[in-house]
Amino acid sequence: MVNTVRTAITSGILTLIIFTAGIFFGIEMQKNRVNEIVNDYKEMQISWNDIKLQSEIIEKDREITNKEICENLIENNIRFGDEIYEKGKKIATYEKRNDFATNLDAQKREHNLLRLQFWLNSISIKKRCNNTGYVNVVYFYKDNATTVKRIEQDKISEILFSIKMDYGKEIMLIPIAIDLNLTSVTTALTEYNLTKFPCVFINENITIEKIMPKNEIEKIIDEQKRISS
Amino acid sequence: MGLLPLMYYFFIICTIYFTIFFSLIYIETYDLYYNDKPAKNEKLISILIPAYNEGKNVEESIKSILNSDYSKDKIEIIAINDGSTDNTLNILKSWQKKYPKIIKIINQENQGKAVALNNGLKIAKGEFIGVVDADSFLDKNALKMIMGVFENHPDTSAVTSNIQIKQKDNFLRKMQDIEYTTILWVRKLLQFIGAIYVTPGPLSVYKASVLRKVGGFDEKNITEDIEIGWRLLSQGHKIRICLNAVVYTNAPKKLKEWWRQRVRWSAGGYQTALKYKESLFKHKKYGIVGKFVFPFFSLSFIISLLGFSIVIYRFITESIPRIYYSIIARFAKPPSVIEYVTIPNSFTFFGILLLVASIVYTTISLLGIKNKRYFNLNKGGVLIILATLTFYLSLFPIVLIQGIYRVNKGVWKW
Repeated sequence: MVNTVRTAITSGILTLIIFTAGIFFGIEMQKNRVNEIVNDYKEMQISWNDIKLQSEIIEKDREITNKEICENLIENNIRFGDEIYEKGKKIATYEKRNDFATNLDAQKREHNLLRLQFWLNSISIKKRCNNTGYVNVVYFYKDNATTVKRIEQDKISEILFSIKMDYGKEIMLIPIAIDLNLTSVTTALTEYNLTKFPCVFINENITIEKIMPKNEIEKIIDEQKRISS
Repeated sequence: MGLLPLMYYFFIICTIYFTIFFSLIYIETYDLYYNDKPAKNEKLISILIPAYNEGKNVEESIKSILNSDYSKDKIEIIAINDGSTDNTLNILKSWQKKYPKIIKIINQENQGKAVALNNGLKIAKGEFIGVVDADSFLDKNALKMIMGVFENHPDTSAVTSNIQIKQKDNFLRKMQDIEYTTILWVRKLLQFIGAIYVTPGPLSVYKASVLRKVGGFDEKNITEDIEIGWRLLSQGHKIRICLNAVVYTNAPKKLKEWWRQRVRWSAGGYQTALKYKESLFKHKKYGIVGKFVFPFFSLSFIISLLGFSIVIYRFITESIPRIYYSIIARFAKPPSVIEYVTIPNSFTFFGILLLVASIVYTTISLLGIKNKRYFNLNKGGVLIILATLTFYLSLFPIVLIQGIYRVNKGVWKW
C-alpha cells in the first residue's frame, strides 16, 4: 500500500511549485513584452521626429513642386505608416496574450498620438504634394469594447488589413482608438463630425459606419484613387 | 482577472495535481502490476450471469467459464434470465441439460440486473460470488488468477479483472480500447491507496459473506457495479484488481449504442455520488469514500462540466458573432493559433505541460497494461491515440449532462 497522505501532500507541494513556475513564466514573458513595446515606442518616436523634421525643413504649408522631394516624403511616410501599423497590431496582440493585469494604457496612448500625428502629416503631404497617389484610410475604433463589439471591430480590422495587403503603398491604413482619453483625438473627431464607432474614414470625406463586404470598401477606395489622381 | 481565467487556473491546478498524484503512485508501484499468483486451494465459486436478450452471446460466455482451468466441481453457474424476449432461456436450458450439476437457471420477469443478481445471490452456495456479464468471455486462467488474490490477500472482499475489448475492429472500438486501458491503469493505481470504487460487470468476484452482509446489490441504482464498490469501501472492505485475470467483453460498435451505454454509466455514477454525498463530511463513517472517492469523482464531474461550459460560453459569445460578422462582411479568415506559441504566456506553459502530460499518461498506461498495438505508426495507432485524447474525450461532458438530466427527471429504463 502507498502512503496516501504523504503522496497527497507531496503532490500538493509539487503542484504548487509547477503552478508558481508557470505563473512566473507568464509574468516574465509579459514583462519582456512591455519592455519591447516601450523600446518600440522609443524607436518610433525617433523615426517620427525624423519625418517631422524632414517636413519642416521644407517650409511648412508651402506647396512642394520638386517631384523628387515629394516622392521621398511620401516614401518615408508610407514606410512609417506601415511600421506604426505593425507596432499597433503588436500591442493589440500582446495585450490579448497578457494574462495578468498590466496597464498598457500609457503605451497605447503614446502610440495613438503618433498615429494621429501621422494621419495629420499624411493629410498635409497630400495637400502639399498635390498628387500623392495614396488614399488615407483611418479606422476609428473603441479600445474598451464589449465582446460582441470587439469581434465586429476585429472583423473590420481583418478586412482593412487584407485590403492593405492588396493595395500596398496605395493606401495609408491608420487605426486610431477613440477612447484613450486624448483630447487631440476628441478634437479630430469633432472636426470631422464623426460620432458613430467603429467607423472607417476614407480620404477625410467618406465615412463607413457599419461592417461592409471587402469588395464594397475596395470600390470606394478605387473611386477615391481615381479622384485624387 | 476575469472569471474565465480563474476557471482555467482551477482546471489546470486540478489536472496537474492528479497527474502528479498518480505518477507518484506509479513510481512506487510500477513493478507490482502483474505479480498476482494463481490460487492453489480452489474454493467453490458461484458465478452469476444475468442475461437480458443475450441469445447471441450467453452460450460463449458459459463456454468460457466451463473451459476455465478452475476445477468444474468448484464452479456453480447461476444464469438469470431477466425476462428476455429472444432465445436466451432456451439456450440456457440446453446448457443446463448438458451440465445439470453445474448450471442452475432462474427465470424472472424483466426487473433489471441488480434484482437478477440478488436473486442469484439468494440461491448461491459458493464461498465466493462471481459476476460475469452475458456478453463477456473469460480467459482460461482468469478465475484461478482472481481467486489467487483472495488466497494471497485474505483481507480482500472483492476482486475485479483486466477487462479487454473483444473485437477491436473499428475506430470507435479502438478508441474504447485505449480508454479501457487507461481506466485499468488508473484502477490499478487506485488499488494502492485502497480506492477502487467499481467492480465492473464483465468479471468481478466477491466474498459471499461480505456481499450478503452489506445487503447485496442496490436494486434502485442504474449501475449496481459502481454502487456496490462504493458501499464496500464505505464499510471498510478492500477491493483489488487482478490484471492477470483477463476477460473479453463486447464493446459498442456504433456511436448510438456507445452513447446509450455511456449515458447509463454517467447516470449511475451521478446517482451513486448523490447517494453518498454526506460522505464528504463524515469521514469516520464512510472512510476512503469520503476522503478520496467522493471528492475525486465529484471533481472529475465538475471539471468535465466546467470545461464544457467554457466551450459553450465561448461559442455563444465569440464564435457565433464571428460567424455572423463573417457572413455580413462576406469575409472570413481562420483564427490565428500561431500566436499561442510564438507569444507565450502562462497558459502556453500550462497548455504544453498538460499536452505532454496527457500523452505521457496515455503512453505509460498503454505500456503498463501491455497494450502496445497503438505504437505502430503504419497502422495509424498514434492517430487513434490523438483522436481519443481530443474528439473522444470531448464527448464525455455531453453524455454526463444527459445522464444527470435523466436521473433528475427520473427518466430511466435499464
